[in-house]
Amino acid sequence: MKGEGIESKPEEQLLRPIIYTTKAFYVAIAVLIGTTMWSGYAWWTQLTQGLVVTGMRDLGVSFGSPWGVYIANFIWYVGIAHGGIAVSAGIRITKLEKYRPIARMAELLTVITLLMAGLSIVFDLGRPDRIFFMIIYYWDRIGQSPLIWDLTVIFAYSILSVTYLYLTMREDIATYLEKLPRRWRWFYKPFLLGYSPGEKEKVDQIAWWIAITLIVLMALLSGGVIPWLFGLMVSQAGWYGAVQGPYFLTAALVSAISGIIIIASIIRRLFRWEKQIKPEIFKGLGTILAVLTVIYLWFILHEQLTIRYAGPTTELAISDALLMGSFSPIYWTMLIVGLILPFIYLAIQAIYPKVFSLKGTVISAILILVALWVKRFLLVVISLLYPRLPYPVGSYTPTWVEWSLVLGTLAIASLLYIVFIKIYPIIELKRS
Amino acid sequence: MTELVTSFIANLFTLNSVAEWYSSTGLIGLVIIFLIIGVPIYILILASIVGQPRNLKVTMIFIAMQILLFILAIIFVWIVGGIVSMAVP
Repeated sequence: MKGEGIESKPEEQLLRPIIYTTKAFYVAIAVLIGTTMWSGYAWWTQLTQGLVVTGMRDLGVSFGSPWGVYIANFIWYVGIAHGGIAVSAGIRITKLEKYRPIARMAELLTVITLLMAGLSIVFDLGRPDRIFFMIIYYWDRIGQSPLIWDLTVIFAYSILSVTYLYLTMREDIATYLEKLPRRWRWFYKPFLLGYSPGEKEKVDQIAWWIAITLIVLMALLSGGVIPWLFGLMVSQAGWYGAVQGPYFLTAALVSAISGIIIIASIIRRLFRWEKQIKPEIFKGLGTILAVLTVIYLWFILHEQLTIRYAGPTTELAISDALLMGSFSPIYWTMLIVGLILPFIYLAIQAIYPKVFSLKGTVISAILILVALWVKRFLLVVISLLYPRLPYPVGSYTPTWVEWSLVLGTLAIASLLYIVFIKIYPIIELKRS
Repeated sequence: MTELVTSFIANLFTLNSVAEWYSSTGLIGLVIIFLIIGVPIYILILASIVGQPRNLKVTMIFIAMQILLFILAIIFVWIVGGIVSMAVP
């Protein structure tokens, strides 16, 4: 690998991904662009032929589910986004210097996954111009529509997250601008608009306030507005209930910490940043993940216990489908392999630090992250397949178009992340 | 004025018609957006202006970036929506 000789200064090590380009980078970019183009073709198919190319159908007389993998994907991405900024904001507010190397990774994860959440909604709408109608008729709908509240908070959250990321990067851009070849400097200079070395204290003050605001908004969006899309629907068995707020919020934090563990481990391995991203960081994140996962499992127990004890017939039908019906293989695999076993592993590791394994922590995080996607899918789809009105039970099988678009969001997210790492330092230079 | 406030509060607890229901849920939306969600953002902007240390240039960059990103987001939605409307009528 080019640039391996640069071992003298930690700062130069951190700049290595920007200065040197490997073959692996080009291969990764080519694969991701290819995948993105494939999903572009799938989207074009959907745009020209309509949502009929998906497996989604109206509930009731059409025996289908009007929401599917796109909405599951949306909730999953929003969860990662909110938890991501919570981690970053928590590090800044409480000055957890040990975790500082992963702060920007978490911020970037938030910005990119928020974009992918928005894209998933655009796919689900069928026509992107419908988003514009939500803006035009904003004042007519603000009173009743949790979707409008959702749009508002996602806009606010995205704008604040991008600003947060940018403000905290200005100092780093100024630092490494001098170290870059002259021919690249024109690209970075506009980002330093009005920069002066004395602004650090003010930037820190604003960043602190943005961090506080984002944490409050996270509680409102991930623990409020998005769960309200489900929890307020009194006619929808499987969704209605006051527990959805904290349930969603916990899921957001669990998925974000899993995402950060995975990304930090990939970056650590790719750039050989063993000194910068120390195993202690993964140990700490693994312990937090174990605690949050058991809280999430506790919510699942609450959900099922409330239904099974003396729940209404429609709720019981959904619970039956999950626990012993057609969805039980997916549900139990998700629960045992995706949540319980990783929790046990992470808990043992937290109690006996000697058995800590980075590989084990990353595998646990991957299993949990996949399980949370499946959980969101089950939440969205099953409730719609079992309508409260006397319609027959529906069915839903995602088509190649839907899977291609879901894959496309992953490819675009990875592409954006890689391009960012290629252009800007992913670890804060000054503080590291 | 007192009567107005009293009848307004009373209406919140006696929802006898669709119109009343609309007015009360309409209020919920406004409270959620402009108070619960809005207040942290107002405080943030206020803190950036009056909080110590004061640095007008950084504050202006921060506020201008908020406005710029908001406008860009609307324009982006408008352009993408417009292109798709034209491409796939």
